[in-house]
Amino acid sequence: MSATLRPYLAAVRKTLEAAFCLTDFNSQVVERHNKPEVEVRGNKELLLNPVVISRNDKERVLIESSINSVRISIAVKQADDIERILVHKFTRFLMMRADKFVILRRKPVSLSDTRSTILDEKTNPQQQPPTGYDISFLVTNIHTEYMNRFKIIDFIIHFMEEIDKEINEMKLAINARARITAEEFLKRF
Amino acid sequence: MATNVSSGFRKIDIDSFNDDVFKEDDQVVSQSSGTSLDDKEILQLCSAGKHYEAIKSIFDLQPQSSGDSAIKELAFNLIMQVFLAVKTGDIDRIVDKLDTDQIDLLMKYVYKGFESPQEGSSSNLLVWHDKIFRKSGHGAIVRVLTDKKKV
Repeated sequence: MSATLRPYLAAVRKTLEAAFCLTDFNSQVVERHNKPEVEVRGNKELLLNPVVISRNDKERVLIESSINSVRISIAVKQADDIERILVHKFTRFLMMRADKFVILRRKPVSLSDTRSTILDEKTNPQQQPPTGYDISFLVTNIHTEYMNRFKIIDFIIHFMEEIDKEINEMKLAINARARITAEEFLKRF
Repeated sequence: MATNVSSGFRKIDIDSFNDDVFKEDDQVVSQSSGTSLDDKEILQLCSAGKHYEAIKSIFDLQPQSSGDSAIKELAFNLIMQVFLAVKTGDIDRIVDKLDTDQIDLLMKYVYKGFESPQEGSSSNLLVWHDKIFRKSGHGAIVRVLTDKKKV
């Protein structure tokens, strides 16, 4: 399994290094505003092509960059229903505290945000469109100014490594707990 | 009185009437691609181990600047087959032969391949990504991000 994990993370890291060329950019529409262009999508010339890096059809990273901000969305592996619930609870826990994580987005990007840019050329309807993403980061030029660019990338890569491990551990814990509970319960009969 | 005045004018996007408005000029259709691509020929080149020639003959079509989505689709499918056909050890040799423009184009196809993962294709593409990166550095990725000529 980890045979593809390392090249996957390496590819994500290189792409992020290339995408993190951010500069200060004032809004073109509203005076004295400064907004992440990847979110407002005011002008096409400020947005770069979004890229996807996938490890398999479940695990993907979407990197959307613009002149002053990068949005990174991660789809976490969810093999079964338990993992799906765990991922949902876990990412929700983090996203409710997004302010404390500085670069975390309060919501993962929805497909409608990205569909117009990526999926409009999808000619093949049988190929099911990728499902949404579980968690998103938004890095702006302000973040890269007061934090070390490479440390942010390190953090994102580390996060991707850890979340898989975390979910696996939680799943094992749930199963162990369920086994003990069932044992105790069935002792009565 | 004043309430009867239509408010439709408020919806007009006046910025689009500016002189300096940005227009995407994706209509850079090159007419040189009159020749259609023979997919059998490509597959033959693949099976004969001439992957470099296969890639080159696909790129000769200039799929990135062609406005025809059918050609793009065909070129993409063929490139993906070449990607899957090449053995890991041979990738370096092929990448070394390509020039910068071809490398950039190849990188675009790698990223496009990531968008529609199939069985086992992603791990292969990750290897390609690594090898191309070793040759080109961040430049190829930056050009994938910025180039408006989509493949």
